[in-house]
Amino acid sequence: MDYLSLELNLAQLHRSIQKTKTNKYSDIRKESYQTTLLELYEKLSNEDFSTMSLLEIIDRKKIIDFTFQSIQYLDNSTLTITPFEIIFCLEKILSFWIPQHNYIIVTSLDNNLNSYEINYSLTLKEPIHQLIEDRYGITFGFRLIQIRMPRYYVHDYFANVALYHELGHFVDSKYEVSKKYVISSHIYDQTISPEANGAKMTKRYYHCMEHFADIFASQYIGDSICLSLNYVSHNHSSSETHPATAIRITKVEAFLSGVTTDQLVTDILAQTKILCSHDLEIRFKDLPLDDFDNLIPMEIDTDVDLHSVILAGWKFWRRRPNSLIEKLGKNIVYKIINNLIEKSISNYIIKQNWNN
Amino acid sequence: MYLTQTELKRLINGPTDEPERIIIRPLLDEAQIGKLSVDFRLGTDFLLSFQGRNSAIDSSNNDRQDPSSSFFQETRRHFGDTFLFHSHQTVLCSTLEYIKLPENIFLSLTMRSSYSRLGLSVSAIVEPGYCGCISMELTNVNNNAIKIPVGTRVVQARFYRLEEKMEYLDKQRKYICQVRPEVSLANGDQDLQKLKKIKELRESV
Repeated sequence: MDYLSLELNLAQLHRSIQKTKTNKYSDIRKESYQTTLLELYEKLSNEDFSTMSLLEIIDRKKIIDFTFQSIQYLDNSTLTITPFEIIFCLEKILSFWIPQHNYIIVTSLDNNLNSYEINYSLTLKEPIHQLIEDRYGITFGFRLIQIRMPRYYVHDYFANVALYHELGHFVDSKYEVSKKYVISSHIYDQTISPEANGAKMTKRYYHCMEHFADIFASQYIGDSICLSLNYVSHNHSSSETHPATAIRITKVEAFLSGVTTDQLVTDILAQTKILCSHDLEIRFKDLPLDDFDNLIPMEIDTDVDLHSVILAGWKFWRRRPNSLIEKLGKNIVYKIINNLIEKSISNYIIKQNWNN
Repeated sequence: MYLTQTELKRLINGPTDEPERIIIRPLLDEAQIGKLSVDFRLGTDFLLSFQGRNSAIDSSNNDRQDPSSSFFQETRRHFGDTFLFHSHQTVLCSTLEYIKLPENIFLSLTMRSSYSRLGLSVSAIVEPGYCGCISMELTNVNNNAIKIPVGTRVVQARFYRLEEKMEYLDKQRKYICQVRPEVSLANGDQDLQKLKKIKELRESV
């Protein structure tokens, strides 16, 4: 990379900034982040790249990438675009597991139907923030937890149970549960090479991360995470990064049974208790489906109910025979359940605002 | 029969097995139940009309034309945030409250007097058995824009009891259990097909 390429990159950033700088965020944390981002851009654009060393150019490239990435997610996180209700549910969980944090969950909508992914490169990795502080004296008051999700599923509470799994990855990374567990429990195999030993440990680490995230999600939304896994990754066999779907479901079922003898699940529970100061435990309720049968949103009174209403939606959909489906058809009932879940959550938020 | 405060309170706050129960969720303040009507609040979601690339909204059942969604833009506000009603702009919005009416009670929706005086108007009948947030098509006929916080009590509903029951879901409904405003599905009306065939027949003679 030379300074001319960097200048091109800055011009590209300029165009993105021009498009997004007038975005209005009703969330003051996002407004604050955007203000700091614009301040950073001003500093960058006042610099003369032609006089910089290669090392300085590489640093500037990292900062431009950081700014681009932040814009991409912020721009997709206005109240009109972002799935506000489910993000509210996730933020409740985040505050429980990581009290007094300065994280903002932001979303980027993707055309790919399977593109659920969490990116915390701007959240947990300090070097880029340190670099910005050292170079320009700019400190971001908040950090972005970036979630990529399919555009077509914004109001879909069946598919979006995957977001609970993604949040599980973040909590895991924050406390390094899987990492510390795999390192502490790794048994060096003398019969294979050091490289093969490393690869084996990496694979165990990735698989452990997936199991943790599945169990984490199932605390709040029960076996709906298994149902979702079963149709998104049906019959997937084990890979370097993911355990076989059937194994993943077995682990969640072992956790939900409450009396597991599964060694890995037991170890994950014990490790979580030590590192996170919280237990992985069942945090959902089996809500009656009467309100959905009567086509009305549920009245939610607690955070536990908040997540349970999503599980109730899954149960309602899978209940057969289902007189509503027979009467109205599956397409309409699919839309109705999503609407009722969303309104149940939305009413809870409104009532909290009103009463506080 | 026109329902007044005592009866409205009985039906709204009644037990779950009350056959004529009127469901309103959320009912943030009991004071919304007035002597003659119930006040409803401005919801959080809006569809704003704007001039798109199509020359006109085509509601003539033309398969290749989306009649109205391309003429509306979605936007959202937090509860308590302000929404700006521009002069002479049509805004589709809905009540904050999700309602379900019994099969023998319908309601008639009008603006509260204070907001009529500002230049906003609405008029709607909600059929017995309806469930969902109530759609409102608000047009500001004032020459000035009007700012209104989301959650404001802007409309009032008068309730009427009928002598016979009417099932809402006895036929296919275009709008059911909606929680945010939806664009007009006018070109889904069945008799448009018939009108189209009459036209085609006349032109082929």
